[in-house]
Amino acid sequence: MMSFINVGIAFALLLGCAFLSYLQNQKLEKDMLLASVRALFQLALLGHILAWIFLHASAYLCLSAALIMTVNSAIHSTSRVKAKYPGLFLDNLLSTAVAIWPLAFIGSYLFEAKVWWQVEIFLPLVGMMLGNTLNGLSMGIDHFTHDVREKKEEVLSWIALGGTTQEATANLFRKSLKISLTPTINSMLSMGVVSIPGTMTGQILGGSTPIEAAKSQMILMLLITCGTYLGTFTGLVLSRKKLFNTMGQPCF
Amino acid sequence: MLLVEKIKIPNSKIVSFSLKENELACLIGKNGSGKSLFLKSLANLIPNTYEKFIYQNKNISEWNPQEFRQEVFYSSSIPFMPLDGNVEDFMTAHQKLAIYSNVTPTFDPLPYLNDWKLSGEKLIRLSSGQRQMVSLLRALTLKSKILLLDEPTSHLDPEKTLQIEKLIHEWREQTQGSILLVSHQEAQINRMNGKVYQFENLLN
Repeated sequence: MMSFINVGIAFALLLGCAFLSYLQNQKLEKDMLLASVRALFQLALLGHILAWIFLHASAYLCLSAALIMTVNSAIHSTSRVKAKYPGLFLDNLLSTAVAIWPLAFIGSYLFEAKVWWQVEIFLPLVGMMLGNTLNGLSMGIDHFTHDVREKKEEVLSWIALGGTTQEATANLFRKSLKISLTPTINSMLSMGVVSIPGTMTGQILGGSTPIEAAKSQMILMLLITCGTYLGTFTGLVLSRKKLFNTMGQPCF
Repeated sequence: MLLVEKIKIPNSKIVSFSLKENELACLIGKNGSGKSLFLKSLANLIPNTYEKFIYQNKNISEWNPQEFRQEVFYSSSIPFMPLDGNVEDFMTAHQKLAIYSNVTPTFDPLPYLNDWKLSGEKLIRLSSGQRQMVSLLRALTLKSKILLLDEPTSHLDPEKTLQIEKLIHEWREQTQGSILLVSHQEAQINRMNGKVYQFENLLN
């Protein structure tokens, strides 16, 4: 078992770096200390909460925790969109949940959970997918709402010709979806070539064989990509519905 | 054919207007008075409120919006053109829209493009006058019943202006369609020889 003394040694290394930054007048020491102390607290808290949840594991607790995580993720993805519109939070919540929850159930099965609500598997899966979907979704909606406004003349010219809102925004829709999926696709392309990915590193450090760790990483990577794609796709469809009325007229 | 009563356009002006079958109407009015907003409203392109909005004896709410806009086409004075592609791409781009799957064009724009030395030209290299010519030519191929032409010749030289006017007249004779044309050129209004509406007089 690792003790907190080990963490303390790692933290001492960071203190050394911060001191170096102070000596060199680089003014990074404050940010480094603040961010790392904050991260230590956050992680300790997360560890304790998860430990408590694992101890009291039940289907009810598992779902409540996943729900709180999803709501939190939707709040963050909403705050990252510059051009907000009424109902954006609910749209984001819906698209995140619709994309991630079914994948988390499938993932639990793939990771051979004994019951679907085995919290040690279900919650980390939800957490990993949320982080990525959050990025993709907020980036996609941010680009889409911005582009549709900026290119209103283009969109309107298609509508004037008799195009539906889908047809009029098809190019912008595709572009936004592509932008939000690009980081995930790039990370798949470089995965294992440039670096050892996070999950695999964790598992190897935790004592798994590299082959086992690679399999976990593969499944997780595929689930994350699906989650990002489905979540962003749903989010963009919902946001398109808000930007136009039933007559296909722009409401922005 | 097309009738609006007390339609409220986005600058809060309230307009009533009607256009008959095969009618040619010219609309004049000051810059910034809301003529373009009015034309866009007639094409049902922007949200507005009205007491009556009837096209072909049917209330606007009963019309499929896409079908309606294909029949009542708003042609912008500053036509939007993508950066990529050439004139032919622009002339045919709308055909990929679902609404045009059953529309076969009868008007062939190619002779005009050749005559104006515009065929094969990159869109990005077109002047504003050439953009207007290409855009109007496309409007004539759409098989619309009503064309709402927003200053279609404002960037054109006198010779091209006459050619475009002739094309508009020919389109009207051949298709029995109706036209509402916005113009600031007095001579053009006289030449068009249609009913002239002062925008301010249409306000309620």
